[in-house]
Amino acid sequence: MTPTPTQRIPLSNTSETSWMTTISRIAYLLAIFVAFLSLCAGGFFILTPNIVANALGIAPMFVQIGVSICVLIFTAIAGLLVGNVQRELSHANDITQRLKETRDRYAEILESSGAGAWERNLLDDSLYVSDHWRSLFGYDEQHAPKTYAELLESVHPDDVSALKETLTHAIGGGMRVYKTDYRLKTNSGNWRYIIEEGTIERTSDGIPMHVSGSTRDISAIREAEELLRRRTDELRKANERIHEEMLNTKKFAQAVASSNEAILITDTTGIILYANNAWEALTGVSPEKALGTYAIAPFEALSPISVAQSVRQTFHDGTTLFTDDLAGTRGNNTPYNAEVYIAPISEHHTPIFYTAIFSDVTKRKAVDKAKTEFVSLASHQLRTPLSTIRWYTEMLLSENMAIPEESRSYIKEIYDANKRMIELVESLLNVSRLDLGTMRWIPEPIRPIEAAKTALKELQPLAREKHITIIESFATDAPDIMFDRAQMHMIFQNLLSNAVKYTPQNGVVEITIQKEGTEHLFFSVKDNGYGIPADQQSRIFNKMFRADNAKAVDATGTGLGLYIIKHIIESDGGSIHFDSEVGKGSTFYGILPIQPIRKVAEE
Amino acid sequence: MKHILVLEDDSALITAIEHQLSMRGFSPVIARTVEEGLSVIDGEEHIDAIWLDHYLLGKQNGLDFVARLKGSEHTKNIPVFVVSNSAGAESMTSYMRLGVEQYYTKADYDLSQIINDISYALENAQ
Repeated sequence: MTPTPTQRIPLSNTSETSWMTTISRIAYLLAIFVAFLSLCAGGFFILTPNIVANALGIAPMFVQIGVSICVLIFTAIAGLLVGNVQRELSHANDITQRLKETRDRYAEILESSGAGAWERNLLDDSLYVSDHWRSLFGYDEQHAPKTYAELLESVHPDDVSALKETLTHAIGGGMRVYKTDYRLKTNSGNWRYIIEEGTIERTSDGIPMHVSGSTRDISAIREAEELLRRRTDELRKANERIHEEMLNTKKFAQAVASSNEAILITDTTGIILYANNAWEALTGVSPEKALGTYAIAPFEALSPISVAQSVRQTFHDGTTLFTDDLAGTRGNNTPYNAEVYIAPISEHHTPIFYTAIFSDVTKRKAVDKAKTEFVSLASHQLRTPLSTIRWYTEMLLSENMAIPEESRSYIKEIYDANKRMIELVESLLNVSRLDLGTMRWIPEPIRPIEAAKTALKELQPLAREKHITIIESFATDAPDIMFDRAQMHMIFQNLLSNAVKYTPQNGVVEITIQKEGTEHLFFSVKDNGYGIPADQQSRIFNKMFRADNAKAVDATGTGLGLYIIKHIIESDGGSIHFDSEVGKGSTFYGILPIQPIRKVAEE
Repeated sequence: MKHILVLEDDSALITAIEHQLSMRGFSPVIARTVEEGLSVIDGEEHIDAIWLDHYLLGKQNGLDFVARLKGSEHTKNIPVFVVSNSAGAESMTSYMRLGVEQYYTKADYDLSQIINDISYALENAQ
């Protein structure tokens, strides 16, 4: 049902109605004609009563009666006509009023759904828009479009042709309803997405007379659709990324799971959250059983206490740790050794997990042990005959033996050569220990000056022989340092014996020991001897390297001493350097930390 | 005359040690195994000092001997001089912990140097 505006052309779609209308029209015309006649007759009688009386041959009194009758007829007809017209008018008013109310009600119903109602007259293109329509698009009565053509001016230029096509197709094509959408400009110049739905009303011959319809603002819906589309797109992309990450994670997880090395992931206290399959191969404990247990539980019984402590400290401090001193036994009492690298996984510098990667080093440890034992045994085996030679030649050289002078000198050569052999064995042994990492390192508080003096005493005979002057520059505030006694001795013994050996007669050797800063000890040994040629200086610390001029002076050196002490000094966090010039002498100097850097090795 | 118990298993070295100790006025008593050494200790002769090598014949080594020595009231104060060629610093620390008088790497010392030290220590002990 459509609303009826006041300008509406009345429907006339039945032939009966037109017939009746014709009859009533004729009746009206007849009545008006009669009334007019009466009026004329009456007027004539009033104006010229005598003439009429004379003409007709009747008394003037009859003329007056005739006038009255004409007047009555006229008044009656006029009255009837007026009454009729009035009745029709009020009836028409009633109808109009009722139709207006009906229209308004229907408009209300329609507009309660949010649509704006409108009516378009196809004959004159006039457009009626409801109040709601106007409020939807911000128009007041003055500015609202009055014709459909005016409305079209507010349609988005990109949508106009499509809209016109749709209307042409619907209206011209005999359709009853149509629906279309386009962008409409509001009074304030904003674009709104709208849907227009129209019903086309035609005459009985199908001629379109007018369109009535509703307009819905779907801008919000459109925006929501657009937002939805964008969000869906974003979700799709995020989904793809997640999928990718999951694939990567899967790959990583597979790599970890199938690794030959036992890998654990623990929480910040070292409790196992994940163990791969290799864990079982290493420890005999299945990954399932390992969950919730402490990472190095299988090793605590057989590993050194210091290692267990270091591991605990690592979990506590969020640092990294490498150790190869772990030992355990598997279920069937097979002992094994392992090394581990523990590192934190952090977020914003705070550890949230730890990874621990273990390797079975049983074979390597066994090989190392065998090497160490071999070195041990070899040195023992080598030294025993050397001791024998030493002591027997010593006995031969003692006073109570009646050895002739010449023989005595030969025996002395044997004794000296043997001593060099003994030193060589000692050096080789130290080098092996350094390379295997089994060098004894037991730090204790050492007075460096005392150690230096002990070494000096050993050199006394040679120094005296060469008339070498030893200058001791020992600072009174030289600190005690934590060091291994034997290694401290090695350092001074080597530097001092080099200085004395490679300085000619009447030379000077100066040894300095003093404090350096708050945490270091400084030492230096200076001589005015042969010096080291510049082109050989870079190799002076190499294993078994001896400079040419050193060989000339003393054919017997091993070339191992400096290599050994450099290694010792640097392992401890110290440093050693030298300055040297051929013909002027050499100064070897360096520093050692007062507190040792390296951890105590348990031998 | 001071009696020195010498635990050493190398024949040539035994001869040299014995010779020099005698030359210096000591009375050396030789043992080649821990068991032999212990039976000497438990025996009649009073021992004033012990010259001990680490590796000996038999299953036990010098450390076992010292441990036994230090475990008994009447032997624990006999001064022990370890004279050994073993490379291991481990054993040296163990010996020092057990309380031996001195530790010598055999090849690094002349016989006379070691005997001087023993003599000096015994004189001062009195």
